[in-house]
Parts: sequence; C-alpha cells; structure tokens
Amino acid sequence: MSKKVVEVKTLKVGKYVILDGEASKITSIQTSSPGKHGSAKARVEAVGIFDNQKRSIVKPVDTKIDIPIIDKRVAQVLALMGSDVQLMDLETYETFELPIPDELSDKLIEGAEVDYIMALGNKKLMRIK
Amino acid sequence: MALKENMTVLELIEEMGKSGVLGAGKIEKATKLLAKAINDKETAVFLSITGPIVPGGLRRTISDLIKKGYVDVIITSGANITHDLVEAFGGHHYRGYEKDDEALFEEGIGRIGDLYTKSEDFELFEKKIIEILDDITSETSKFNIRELLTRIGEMVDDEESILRNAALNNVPIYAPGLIDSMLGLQLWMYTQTNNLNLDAVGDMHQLSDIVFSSEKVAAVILGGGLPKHYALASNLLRGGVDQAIQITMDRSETGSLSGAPLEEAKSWAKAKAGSDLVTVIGDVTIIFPLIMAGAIDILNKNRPD
Repeated sequence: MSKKVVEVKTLKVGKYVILDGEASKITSIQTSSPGKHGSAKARVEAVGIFDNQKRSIVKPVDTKIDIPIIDKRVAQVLALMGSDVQLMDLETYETFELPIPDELSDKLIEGAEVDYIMALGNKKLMRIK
Repeated sequence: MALKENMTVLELIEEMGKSGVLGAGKIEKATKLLAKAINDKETAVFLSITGPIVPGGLRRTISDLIKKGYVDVIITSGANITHDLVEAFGGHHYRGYEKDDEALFEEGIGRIGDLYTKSEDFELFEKKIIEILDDITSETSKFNIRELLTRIGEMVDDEESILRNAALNNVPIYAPGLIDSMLGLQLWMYTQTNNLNLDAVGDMHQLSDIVFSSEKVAAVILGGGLPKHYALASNLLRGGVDQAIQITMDRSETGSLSGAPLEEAKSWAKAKAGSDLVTVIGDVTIIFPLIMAGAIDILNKNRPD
C-alpha cells in the first residue's frame, strides 16, 4: 500500500496528504472551535507534488483522511536528454526517466547523485545531493 | 368586542370580526380565508415558512397541519429544516440563558431572540446527518432538493418532525435557499469527499406540475424572505395565486419583498386580479397559532358528523 489513513487533526504543515487523489504537500492548516457548524473543523491547504495544483478541504478534525506514503530514494544521473533525465536508483538499479524541474535545469550533470521521491506510483526529482 | 368566560378561539376571533377593523379585523379575515382554502378540495395550500418557526415553538403546529392534510406544499428555509433535524436527533432549543452574547459564545450557546441553541446539539446533528447521507447516497447520488429532503425525512425517527411527517404524507418540502444553512454547510463538507450531487433547478419541474395541476392556489406566508418569493413566483406562470395570507412585521417602504404588500404581487401576476389577500402585521408565533386554531374550529364546525 502506498497510502495510509490518519485523523485530520494529526496533519502538519510540511507533511503530506492526498487531496482529489493527488499526493500533496500541506502548506497551511486553520482550525475552528466547535460551534453551530458542528464539531471542530480544520481547513487544510496543500499543493500537489506532481501536478503543482493548490487544493483545500474542510473537515471535522476527527475525520479520517488518506495520506501518501512518501518513499525518499537516491538515484544517479545516467544521461541528460533535453528536458528529461535518465536516472538509476542506487538501491534497486532500476533505470527510468523523469522531467527535469526548472530549478535544476542547468545544474544537473551526468554522474551526479540526486534525491527523488515516490508517492502513489509517481516519481519526482527533488534535488541534487 | 365582548370577552366572555371559556370562549373558544373562534368565538374570540368572531368578536374581533365584529369590530372588523385594524389588526383584529385582519385576524378574522385571515382566519376565514385560511379555513376556506383548507376546506376547498380544489385549492392547493402553499405554506411558506421563514423565521425561527421551529425554534419558536411551532414545529408541532406545522407537523399537525401536515398530518391533518391541511397543507399541500411547504416552502421553507434551510434553517428551519436544520432546527427540525436538530430536535429530531435529540437536540433541543433552550430558555433562560440571559447573559452577555460574548459570554454565551464562550459557553457554546447561540442566541435567537430569547431562545438558545447549544453547540453540542449541532455536533450531534453533524454526526447523525452524515450517517443519513451515507445511507441515502449508497444507491443514488443525484437528487433535487425536494427529493433529498424527502429521503432525509424517511430516515428520521421522531413523530413530531416536520420532515418525517411531510415524507410520510407526501407533502413536498421545497427549500430554494437550502445551502444557506447549517444543513447546507454539512452538505458542502460532505460533497468534498463523497459523491452527492444536488440539483436546485430540478425542483422547478415538479413544482410547476403542482402549480399547473391545481385549480386554485392559496399561499399562506409566514414571514418573508426567499420562501415568500418562491411561493408566489412559482405561481407566476398560471397568472398568480388565488388567495394569500401573509403574517409579517417587515416594512414596505424599502421595496424589499419581505415587507411588500400582497397587493403588489398583482402587478407581477404573482397574485391574480380579484384574488383574496390579507396581510396581518404581527409576530408569527402569536398570530399564526391564533388564526390556525380559529380555522380548525371552523373546519370542525363544518364537518358533517
């Protein structure tokens, strides 16, 4: 399983949540006390790791919500291929291609080691080690 | 007006009718008009309910009207539906918390005039309505507002509930402003992670069928607001209502609908030329039980034994 279920109240800014099926990084959490709207609520705002879309949800704090299991991995750059890069996982030796994030476009060199993450079956290149 | 011992409500109202002027005269006219509309099988009675009618103690009154078959269509606010469900789920409305409003907030108490609500009752409401929505949406996910309210009513286990009695007696409840309520808020929160699709436009087809298939329509308008407009405007396509009673304390000078004289509706074809219209100025929680009790006395007198 690449996800697990937690209560909304355990979410933290900087951690991850699944909104609309997208693994997303939490950017803000606002809570309200119980009231006419019922039990205490949290509004969670997050940005999709892979699609970069901002999303939000409002839920009672004791509601269950899915969070992605983020697999942080290390790979080595095999080849630069224009806007994509070919990588090899240093543990599994699996090779695959990923788009190069804008901020790394002129910094990647062949042979460099990089951090990448896997969540919900998607991979994303995060930074140069 | 001669006041006697042990008068019935109708006797009192008839005494008011003997004076025949000002508020007393209006009460007698409204009582007779209401009894006539209910008694006439060809007249569909549209009951529009706004303001804190459920918290204000008229929940049982409205449920009894439904049980007796006195109303054909109910149009109300999301708030009255919410408060009906708060009571159906075991919550209450309270008296005797006279305090500063900021202190009430600290204690989780909301104020409506001199009556009060508790946050804990709304927490219970939230829990129960989510259970009902889970159940209802397990088969179908798309509803118009009337259908949703009928389905909720079928699931409510409280004999005094307006929603329950309406569902059991095939009285449709329309709530064009449903989203503007705590039930509406729960519906929104629910739709964030569940498949529920509410179709507000979908209500109009059935409502217009009722309007066109009714020989005559009488609108009984408690308060104003959006339900008042919906009750009158849904009759626009047939040239307006034939009879109407409104009980309000809203003023007419600003041109807003809530305080608009019923006569104004004639200019819009929301009330027919020659329609019987009575406006009683006053608190609905006083005036409506009075004219309703009077009308019940008239209906019982006319009933062949």
